[in-house]
Amino acid sequence: MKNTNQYTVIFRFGLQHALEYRSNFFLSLISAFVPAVVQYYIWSTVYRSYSDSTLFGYSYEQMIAYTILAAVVSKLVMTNMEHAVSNDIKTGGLNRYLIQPISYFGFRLCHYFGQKLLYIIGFIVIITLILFVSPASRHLEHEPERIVIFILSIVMAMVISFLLSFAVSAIAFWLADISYFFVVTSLVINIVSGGMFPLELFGEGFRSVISVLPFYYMIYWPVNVWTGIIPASELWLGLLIQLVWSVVLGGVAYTSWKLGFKRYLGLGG
Amino acid sequence: MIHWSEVKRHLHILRLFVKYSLMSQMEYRFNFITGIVAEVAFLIAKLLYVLLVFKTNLHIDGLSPDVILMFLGVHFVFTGIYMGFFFQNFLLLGQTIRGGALDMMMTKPISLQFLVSLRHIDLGMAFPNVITGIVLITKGWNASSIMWTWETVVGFIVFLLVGVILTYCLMIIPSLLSFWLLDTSAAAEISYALWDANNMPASLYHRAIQHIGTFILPFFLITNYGPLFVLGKLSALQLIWALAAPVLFFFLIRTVWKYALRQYNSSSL
Repeated sequence: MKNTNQYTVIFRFGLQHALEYRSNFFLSLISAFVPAVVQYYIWSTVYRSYSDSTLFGYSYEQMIAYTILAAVVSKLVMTNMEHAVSNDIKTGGLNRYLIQPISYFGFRLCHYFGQKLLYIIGFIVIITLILFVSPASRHLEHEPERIVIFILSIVMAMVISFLLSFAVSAIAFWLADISYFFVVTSLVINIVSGGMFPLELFGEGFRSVISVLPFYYMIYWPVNVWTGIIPASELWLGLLIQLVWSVVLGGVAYTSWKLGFKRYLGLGG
Repeated sequence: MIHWSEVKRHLHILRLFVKYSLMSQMEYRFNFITGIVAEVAFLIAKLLYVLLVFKTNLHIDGLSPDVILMFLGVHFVFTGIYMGFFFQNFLLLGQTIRGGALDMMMTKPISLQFLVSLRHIDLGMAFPNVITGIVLITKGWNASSIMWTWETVVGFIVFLLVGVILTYCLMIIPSLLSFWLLDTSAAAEISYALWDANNMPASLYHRAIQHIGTFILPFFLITNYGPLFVLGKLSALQLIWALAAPVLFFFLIRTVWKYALRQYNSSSL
């Protein structure tokens, strides 16, 4: 019970941290939409010039829905916590978690979800607007089962993204200054997860390769549950694969941190 | 009144900034190389738009993919110039103002605006973008059958100079806000998003966006007017605006800078 309270407080800290810079939050949402606006105009121009109703397997409505949702979902799932974690490792900030009755993993997880709460609210507003207002969405089918799986897949995508970031951050135990490394990994993960463009743009072979990796289930899969590209027969299977990847990445994160702690010097702090 | 001896002195100091920046970067070679690797990763992400243009055979207002390549190329060249000359300085300007370090810099016997704008130069960040940009411009230029006459080349270079001044004027705005605001990161984030979005012909967008991007925040002048000039698609009015805008915006930024300095009171020293 006591432990639950601790983590609730950390969740609140995360939320307060996000609220502290709420004008920043709203402005950062605007910046997330700028690339989506560019792509909206590009895809609109492209589809106008095509006689086929689909391109890369997407109808115009599906492509626009993908463009908007991918921009929001990538903001939602990307943790950007690697710098903070590596800083804790480098400067001895982990020391206090070694002596206090709280796990560093639990702290980061609750802080992450607390920080993302504002994004989740923004996300719900945007989804509602798309569902009820956007003309593009009227052509998409949203049966209740698909909407439920979409919501669950977003939660699972956040878990996968968190575990992946946590595992990658452990590299800081071995390398001293790797801030650029995290910039590159975040960018690559965003692209191969379908955060910039649908994976079909890079060719069917590339999409097939990525589909056996966890990145596939971070942005591309949840977004395409919504657009209807993922067939109804594969919805529950995809959710199960997300669960499997969460377990695997949890194991990788646990092992890498266990190995990393053997090298931890606890300097400073 | 321009004092040419002062201009010569500042150019000499600029040379020294380049020299000392390079020397200090060579001291931390690993960081210098990883910085270039990170920049190349961003470059590859931006090159995905080239893939998009050619895979979808995108035609914008009669401009073929080969011509659009020139717009993308100019965008890369300016990204290189911005990253190499201004990015780090603008990033540090906010910290300099908030931390009160500006006080010390005021005592130096050169223009304060010049000092804070150009003291850190990172040629490693500039080269990958500038080289890729020149390759794309050349490919687009040749494929579009534009004649290599001295008029087109000199005109194109003049528009590059116009672009440099406007890049400076537009991208310094978020940093100038640091004189009044505590956290300007979201404003900076929006300016980066707008910058990245400025890689396509303006005619792609709605007329209202075209007007805003030409007259209020003239980002389109940076990437669009050079290629449009060599294509012979600039009207006399657009030519006049292209030459007047850098003067007008530099004057505005200079006025805001002087006003901000009058408002400035040392923060922490």
